[in-house]
Amino acid sequence: MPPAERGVERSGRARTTVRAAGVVETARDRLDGCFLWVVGDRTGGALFLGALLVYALGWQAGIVIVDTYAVANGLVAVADGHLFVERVVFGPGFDTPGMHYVDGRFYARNYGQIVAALPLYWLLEGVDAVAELRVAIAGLWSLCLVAFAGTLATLREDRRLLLAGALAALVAFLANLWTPTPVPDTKTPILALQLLAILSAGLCGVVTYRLLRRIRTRRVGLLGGALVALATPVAFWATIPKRHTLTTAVVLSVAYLLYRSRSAERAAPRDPTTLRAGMYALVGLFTWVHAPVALTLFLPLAAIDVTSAPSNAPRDLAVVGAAFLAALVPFFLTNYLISGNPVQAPRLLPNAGKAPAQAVVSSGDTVSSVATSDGAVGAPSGGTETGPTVPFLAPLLAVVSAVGPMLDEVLGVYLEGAVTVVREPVRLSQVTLVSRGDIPLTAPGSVERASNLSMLESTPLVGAALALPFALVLDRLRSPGESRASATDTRGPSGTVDRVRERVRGGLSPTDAFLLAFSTLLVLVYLPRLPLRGQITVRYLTPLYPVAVYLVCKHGRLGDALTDRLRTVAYAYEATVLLGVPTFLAALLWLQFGEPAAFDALAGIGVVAGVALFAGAVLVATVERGEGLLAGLVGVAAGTTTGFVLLSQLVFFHYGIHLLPVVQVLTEAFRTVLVRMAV
Amino acid sequence: MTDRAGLLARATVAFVFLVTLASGPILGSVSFTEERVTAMDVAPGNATVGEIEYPSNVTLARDGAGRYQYSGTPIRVTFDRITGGDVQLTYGLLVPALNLSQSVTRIVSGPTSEEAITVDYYSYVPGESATPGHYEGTAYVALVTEGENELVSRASVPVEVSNATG
Repeated sequence: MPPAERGVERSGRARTTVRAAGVVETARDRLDGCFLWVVGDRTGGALFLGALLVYALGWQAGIVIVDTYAVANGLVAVADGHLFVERVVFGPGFDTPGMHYVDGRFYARNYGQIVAALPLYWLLEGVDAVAELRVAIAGLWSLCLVAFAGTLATLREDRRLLLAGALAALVAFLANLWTPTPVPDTKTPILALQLLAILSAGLCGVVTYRLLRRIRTRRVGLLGGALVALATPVAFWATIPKRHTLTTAVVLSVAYLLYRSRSAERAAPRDPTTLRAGMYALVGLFTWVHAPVALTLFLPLAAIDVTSAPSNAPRDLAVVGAAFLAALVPFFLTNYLISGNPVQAPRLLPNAGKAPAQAVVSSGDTVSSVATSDGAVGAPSGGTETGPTVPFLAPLLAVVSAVGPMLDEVLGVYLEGAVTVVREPVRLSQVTLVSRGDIPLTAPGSVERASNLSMLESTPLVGAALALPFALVLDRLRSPGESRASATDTRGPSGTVDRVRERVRGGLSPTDAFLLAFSTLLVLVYLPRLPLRGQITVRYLTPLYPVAVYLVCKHGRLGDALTDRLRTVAYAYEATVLLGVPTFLAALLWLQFGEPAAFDALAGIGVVAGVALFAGAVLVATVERGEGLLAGLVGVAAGTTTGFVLLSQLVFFHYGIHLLPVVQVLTEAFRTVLVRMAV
Repeated sequence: MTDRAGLLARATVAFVFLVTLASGPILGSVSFTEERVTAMDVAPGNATVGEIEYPSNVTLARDGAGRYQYSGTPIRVTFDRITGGDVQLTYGLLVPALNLSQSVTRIVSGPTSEEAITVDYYSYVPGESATPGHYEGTAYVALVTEGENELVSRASVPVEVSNATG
């Protein structure tokens, strides 16, 4: 080849290389842009990635609570192209809790959760097709670690952090390769549901951070976000394929959008109406996951939003209403396809237990009597009485006839909750303060457990939230007329009317009012049914933990004390986790405590830490001293919950193989000893 | 320092990607042992299960202390062969109409064995006990392998719920 042609070819190659590099750079920038749009900034990114790294340590491929069988089988069905469950891939049969039976077909519930997990399922299936899943997940963890270290290095302007992080990621990856643990072939649907829960849990911390950062400062945001991500039951439910972290993330996101739509800088980058439309759309979509909780979100949101909105012009309301109705379409459509009634969610349909015995315990894990020839998306199986010959008339009639009784039922639920609070205050105290603890009734070594801790036992930080009213009243008595929070929540009320309104509110912003009203209604909904089996951390009330953290960090002296002494909080937290967890394990082995006794001990520690925190917070608010002690107590309380989560996920709750092989090897040693002691 | 950190980070990312891709069927150049490397397994054995005798019916009698007294003939499981160590056996009873499910677990040693599992009680939420009556339950036997219940067999079992200890 002549030199001139060689030169042309070389320059052509160089151009291609430059172009390819440009494409990679652009893709990376766009990915980075998307990531920052979700997490807010680099600090939020570090928080998110750090949380994911911790959650993955406890990630086991398996099911803890039996009603997840229905959702997992539902995901398999939707991936197969229909709503009805035809194959039982998980669980002993069709008649597991959470499965519903309509006209000869079995249906799952929480279809919104299922559909949200579907892209993750396809992603995992795709990865599984080109790589060994166990290696890919270990690799993903190491890549997360590199990204986390890189973000920290950027934030702290110290490249040594990146060096250490990359080295640790490499070592971890090699160690995981050395100790391979096969992922069972059929587990991808469970992994997809778990991945959805993990990402939602990570978002809980991030949204709390973003909310508190805007209301107060970056430090407060970081503290609140970290506490939510690592020191509340959000961390516990992060790897369990249930809807609780998704619910919590939605609640916090709605609160964030509500705040943004009311804050002074609301015009940038989006106007308040768009933000309001966004929050109603979230609520509408969440109806597809869990209609009762969505309604409990909607009622206080609508009341507070409309009364506090900067504008309720017809155009604004039309946009907001259209967004909400559009978001409800998947919910209506799914219900119509299943029951023929757009407002009758699967949850309201007969349980699978009502199905004939031969359908429930059928041979070959399929229902031969109900399978259709074309496997089309579940055709409307109900509503025949209302005349299905006119396609859209039947559902409308069904809606009209169903709405009245449903409203009665819904309002009755809240009323029943209120009556329970008055008639059975003991029940409220069992749920929030000290449980009866039916853990000793658990069979030794049993895979299915009946563990119930109260809110305070599982999250001693609740003690600080309980002290908040005292602290606020004392603050108010000392400085009447001042409103620390109002000054920060709505920056600079512009007019006299605004100032008067602020004074009337007395520090309670629309966001606070919404979160408090939602929390109250959620307690009323669930209280008559609590404590239930297998609640572990009062899981139905999981959104209340971040709300408690938010209120503590946002308001009054407690928030100030914690941000002034962030280092003390961090040191106390680290000491509790790094020293407390090994000490607890050593004591367990030395005293030969079985698992139920260990949980009793953890519950006791939670109560002691929570009560100490409550007393410390009240004391500091009263004497205006001892803020260092309070910060230390918060660190200990937070560390106690993290310790509980680590012990649960790594030692006590063994419901599947750990996705990180090294963790599997390390935890098996502890489990072996404990199970041998118990059985 | 800057270059070294960035270089190591990029090298780590590239290594992870390459090894991950190599582990799949496209390249297939790297193979990993399927054998698990474990410190100590709780019950690492394998079992061939023979005949299983389920109770013909089960009675759950509320005893007022947040639990049902369980009465029924013990479930009998015959193990034809147990190899590679102990196995972990689970017997469970699902009563969907009561939203109730509970199981008990045993460690079983080989080489052959016949296990009779007795159950003393099933717990329930105080204040949420079931209406007395007859229900259909699903009894099942599973082996716990790598921490998971692998279903061996199941059967429909009539369950009678009564208010007082019989």
